[in-house]
Amino acid sequence: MKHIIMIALLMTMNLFAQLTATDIIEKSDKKMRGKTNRSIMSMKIVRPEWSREMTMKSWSKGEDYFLLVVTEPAKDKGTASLKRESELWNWFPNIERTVKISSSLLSQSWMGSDFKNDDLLRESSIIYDYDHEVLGEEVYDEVTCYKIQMIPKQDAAIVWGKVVIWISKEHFNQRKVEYYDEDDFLVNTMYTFDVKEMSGRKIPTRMEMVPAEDEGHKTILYTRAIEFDVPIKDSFFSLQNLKRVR
Amino acid sequence: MGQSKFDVFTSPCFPLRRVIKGDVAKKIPPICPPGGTYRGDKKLVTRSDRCLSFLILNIIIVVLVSNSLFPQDNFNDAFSFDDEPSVFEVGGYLKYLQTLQFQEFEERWLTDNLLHHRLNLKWYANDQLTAVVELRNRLFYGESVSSIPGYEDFISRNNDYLDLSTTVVSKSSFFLLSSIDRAYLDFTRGNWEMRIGRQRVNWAKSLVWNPNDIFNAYSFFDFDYEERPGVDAVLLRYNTGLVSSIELVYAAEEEWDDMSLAGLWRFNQARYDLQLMAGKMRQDLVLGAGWSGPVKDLTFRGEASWFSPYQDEDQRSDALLLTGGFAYSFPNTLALQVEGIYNSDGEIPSNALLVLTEPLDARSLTFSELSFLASTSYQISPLITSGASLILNPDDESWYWGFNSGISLSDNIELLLTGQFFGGGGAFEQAGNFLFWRLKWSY
Repeated sequence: MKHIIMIALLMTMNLFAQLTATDIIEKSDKKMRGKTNRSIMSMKIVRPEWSREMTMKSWSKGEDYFLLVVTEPAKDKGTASLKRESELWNWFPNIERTVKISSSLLSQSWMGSDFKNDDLLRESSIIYDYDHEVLGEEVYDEVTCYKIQMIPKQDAAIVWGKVVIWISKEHFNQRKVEYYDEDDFLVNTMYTFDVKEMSGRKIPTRMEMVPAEDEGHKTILYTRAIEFDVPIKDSFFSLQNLKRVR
Repeated sequence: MGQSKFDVFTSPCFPLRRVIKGDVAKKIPPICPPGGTYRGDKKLVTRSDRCLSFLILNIIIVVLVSNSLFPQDNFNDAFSFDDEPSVFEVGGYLKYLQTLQFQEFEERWLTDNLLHHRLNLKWYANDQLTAVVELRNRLFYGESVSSIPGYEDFISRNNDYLDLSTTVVSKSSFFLLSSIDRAYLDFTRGNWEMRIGRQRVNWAKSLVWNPNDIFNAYSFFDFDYEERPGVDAVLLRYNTGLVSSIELVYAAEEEWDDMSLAGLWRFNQARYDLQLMAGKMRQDLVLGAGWSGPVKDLTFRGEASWFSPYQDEDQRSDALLLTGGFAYSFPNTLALQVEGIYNSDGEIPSNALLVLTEPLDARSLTFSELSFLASTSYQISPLITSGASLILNPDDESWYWGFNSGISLSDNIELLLTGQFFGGGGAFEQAGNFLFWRLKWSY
């Protein structure tokens, strides 16, 4: 019996050993996003003297479709964003206007947070737009993680020079991500915490984006609720629904 | 989070005295005050009796149409979470705005105050039917109120089909106006949408001047009325695709010559949002087109409209209005925008009364042939967004510049500081200068 367990263990280890860096990234990405998902998130911008919080609902399908609507605070309620493939629109309910957003806005801060539009709207793909390399294994937050370096491909529209990511070996969760600029200076670090089971998956439910330069600054993203692989048709991501979601 | 950086479509109050001089100028208030929108010099008629029959007719149409015309909807399959959003929503804001008006900063200031409450009510009756009523209550007091004869009449005038406004109290130093600027039923089923009642029909594509926006033209300077006036209309829209639609809008008026009816086709081609429109705007036939899309990293937006009067051709000429502009944003949130407008009919009228009586509509957006705008905004911190804008009218060498700074005091309280300065000759000569500060609490 002992032998069988040993063999099984060895085989499993072998299987993992065969995972390439890209496999790990892909597995993690699929796990954390699902084929589709819908979620309720809160974002808290923290500064030394103040903080602001907002809550939003989002729906996403693959890398091409994304829809988001702000539910709180009252000031921004109903403001919505739609991504279809490489196009982006914003909806402002108070003036009843849909505005097409140019791609130059992707590198801007999203709603004044430490996240960029690109982070939220996922214009770039962490699978296809980077070359990946396993640097080794490291323990972070008491779990063993793969440490993987991601270098943007030549033709990819990525604002970063290099990204280093820690992915937990057991659950394939992204636990820490370091973003470097083109001069190899650390710009932001994302940490994730509070791994909980949601919709049958163990996932981190708190993400913190911390700028390297600004002490006391961070943006926290809480996952209040998330469901994976719910059936959402491509046609849900329409300009009509951009105005309807709430 | 400060102001959203895309939220740049709000701007201040239009000076009516642009080109009016002499006696005429003395008879009217010096400005169109914040919240007041000048939309023509038509007679004000009370039409409360028509209101009820119009609404009843609307409801009958919706019920009839709903049961026969529309295919089934699959919106809710993807939409609903475990916690359903509430059926009834209440929102709105309370604003206090102070206006300081002067010709010369060192000389006399005119101070005015506006306490403004907005109440938005939304009832999601079922998956398909939504009812909306939005109400604004405005209390005006200050030097203009007490010193300018006819000021209240001027502010409270409207040329809506249904009169949904009332003066609650009017005294020598203050008055309270109450009006409903949205009251509609929205019916959505599958690809069909129908909206009946007072609503905003927004056909704008460019940033500041919108010759395509024939149902709700507005002034760039009226920054304090973000929602814009509504129009009593019936809108029917068919979504031909996920990013394309056809819509038909009928804006009710008693006389055929005052009525507007137009169709719009929106579609998406080569990463451009495009639109084509045709119809009738009061006494003009209209053809128009609008676009928004990328040129490299720039956003390129514009609109073109051609207006042709079908009567009184000897007094009114055809008009071509063409706008175009570019927008660019740097990664550090600095945003730059430029826009230009050509208005073939944009001559400064020899008779100042013409300006008074001509409604501000999609064909009379400017009083010069050419105008240019440049504006910039920058997010100083997540709490503070500041910007400035400049308008030049080369024809009469008049100019405008303004600044604004929005400061978030808490999640729902915002302070706005803004100024408007007019100068040069012609159109902006006697418009004056304005400083505003505003506190806004949203709920």
